[in-house]
Amino acid sequence: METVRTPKEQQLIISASPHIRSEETTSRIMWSVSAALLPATIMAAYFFGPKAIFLIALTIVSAVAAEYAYQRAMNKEVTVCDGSAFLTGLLLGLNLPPTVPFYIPIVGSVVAIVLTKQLFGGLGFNVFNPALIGRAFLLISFPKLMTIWAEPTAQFVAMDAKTTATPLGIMKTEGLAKLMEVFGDKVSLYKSLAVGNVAGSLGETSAIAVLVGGIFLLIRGYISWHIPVSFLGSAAVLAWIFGGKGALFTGDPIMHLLSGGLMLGAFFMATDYVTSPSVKKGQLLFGVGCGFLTMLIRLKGGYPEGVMFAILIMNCFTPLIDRSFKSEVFGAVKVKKEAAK
Amino acid sequence: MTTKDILKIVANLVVIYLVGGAILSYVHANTSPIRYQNNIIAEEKALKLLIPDADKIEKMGDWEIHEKHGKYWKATKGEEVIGYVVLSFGKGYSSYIKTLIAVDKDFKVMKIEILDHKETPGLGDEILVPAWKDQFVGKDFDHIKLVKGETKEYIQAITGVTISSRAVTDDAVKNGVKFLIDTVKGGGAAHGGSH
Amino acid sequence: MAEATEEQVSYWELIKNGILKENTIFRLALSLCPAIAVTNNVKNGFFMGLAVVLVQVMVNFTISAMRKFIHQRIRLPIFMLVISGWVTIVNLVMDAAVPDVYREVGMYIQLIVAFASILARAEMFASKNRIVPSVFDGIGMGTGFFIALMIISAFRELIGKGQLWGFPIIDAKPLLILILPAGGFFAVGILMAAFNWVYAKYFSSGGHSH
Repeated sequence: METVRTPKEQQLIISASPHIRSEETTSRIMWSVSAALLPATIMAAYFFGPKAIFLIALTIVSAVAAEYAYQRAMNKEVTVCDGSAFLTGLLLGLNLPPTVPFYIPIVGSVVAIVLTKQLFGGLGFNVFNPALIGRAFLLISFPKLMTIWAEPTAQFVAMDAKTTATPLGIMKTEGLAKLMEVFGDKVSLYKSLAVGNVAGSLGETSAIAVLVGGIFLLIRGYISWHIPVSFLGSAAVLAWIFGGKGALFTGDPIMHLLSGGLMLGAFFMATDYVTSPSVKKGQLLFGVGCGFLTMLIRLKGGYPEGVMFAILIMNCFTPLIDRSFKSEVFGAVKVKKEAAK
Repeated sequence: MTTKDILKIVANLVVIYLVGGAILSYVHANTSPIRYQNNIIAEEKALKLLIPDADKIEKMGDWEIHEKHGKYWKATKGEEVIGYVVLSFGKGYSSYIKTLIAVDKDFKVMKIEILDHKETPGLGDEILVPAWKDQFVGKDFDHIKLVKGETKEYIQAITGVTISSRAVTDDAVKNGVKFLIDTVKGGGAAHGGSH
Repeated sequence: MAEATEEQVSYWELIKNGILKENTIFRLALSLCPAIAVTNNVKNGFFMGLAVVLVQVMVNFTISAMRKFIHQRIRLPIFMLVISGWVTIVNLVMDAAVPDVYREVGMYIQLIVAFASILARAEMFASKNRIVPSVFDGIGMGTGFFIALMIISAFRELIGKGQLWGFPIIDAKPLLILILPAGGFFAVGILMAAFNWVYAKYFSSGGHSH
């Protein structure tokens, strides 16, 4: 990058974020990410029964339908086959509590697709992650419905709708002692969290299933390690330092890493191409910011879980991060001006 | 700028201030008694609703909680003291919740009323629901305590509205009643000795 | 607007201009802060709108009456004095007359002092025109603002709470976000788009654009 560039070369190099990929690549990435979410979806169905499948399917269908309807109504090219609406719907569905009534996924999908994505110009132009805005909208609009969690039943049976609090919720309101009381000891708590045998959003409970999908994406090169590692790493370090009661350095990073939407957020939402920085250094900063905000909300905020708001807040900074880490492009512009003189 | 300009500017400002000041003071003089009266009427109405049996509710003094100005009153029927009212504040999610608490002469809660709050609409304002506020009726100081889950003995928290309901229960009401017991009980006991 | 052209404009045109073509909120996108802050129920929107109509008309009247007397160099401070004077009067009168409402919107009434739209009309219209057209311009601009507040607050209260003016209308699970500040942005954005769509379709082509 240090070599002297002729104007002609620069025209090839300069590219403004967001990078819109060609149709074929976009859709292949979208479908691959969706496939990577398959383990989490299967675990959701296993623990929360047929209703989980119904909710996820409904979210996907309404997201795709919303995109189709909007693009038809606005006389735009219909691009539902690129898989981005499907992925948004799938992510939103995996972020819903298993108890919500049927209209929740529909409202969320319309908000995610129309308000967050299409009104800003469609795929590649949205400032915020559509699935997360959909979920934030739902959480604020239906604070009660969106915080009723069900106990996992396992073995794909219809739910008896027994409600309970999420591990993070118990942690927030009643403290670690109560959590230990519920799960017995630390090892069985970790085991439940890893497998997903706890209350929570459909797709976020099973840390292992999410991790499997995330590693698949890393190996295939669809995402780079920078955001997930810096996100999870900074969250773990902060949980270790400040997570304990009283003394510093007594927190439980493993419990914080495995619980809530941290894994799902770090691998599948924070890494969204459109709304995260494209420069590697910037991605590290983005991930650390997400981890910091997540732990700030979890430990000091009013909500038990902060992954969603953390990623959304960092989404705002993406253009700024991209710009401040791309100084060579500015330099190039300067050179070009001088050359023009 | 010429002398003429300066004079004109001065004249402009003087006239504006004089006329404006005169109009404003006229309006202020005419509205301030009404505004003062409105506040008193609103306060009396709220107090009357809390202890409908009382003939007379008179102010006993002021106190301070969360650096806010609280007050307390004595309610009498005929010669007998039938209860006390205290204005208290609880630190909620996004505001100080202004609460009136009426207690009988044994310092058991008769009724509470939330006068003002800026909690999250649709969520925090569930503390206004009568069924929730009615839980306080008949509770003494030791039973004013927020509990999650079913309870008849204590005050049951509203699901998802823990912070606001805790602010009312464990802050505003509890501290208000405690203040009354600490402050009034001495004088109240002396009165009680006579009957 | 110069004095010469204004003579040809009828008073009705002045009012229509404030409501449609130069609607403070939906067309000029001015004073959006109160448009979001006070509009989570119709009652607040109504009294806020009323206060703005009153202040706008009285300010336009006063400025227009004094326009030949004010020195150019200190016209803006004087406009501000006039505006804050009228706002104080409206503030005091509302506190005395409708104390219940005042408790809700009082804080925002005082903010009328800083409304861009009121100062803008004083500067652009009232200080250059005779009293009667200025008053009609004030009525038009104020009414436009009033109508916008009513539309926004009705939308938000109905969908956010299922109520209008505090009375229950629909018995459905409301979309709570609309009565929260974040929803205010959504509501203003959606209604602004709708207003401009209707305006472009039915009003703007009134004779000259085609």
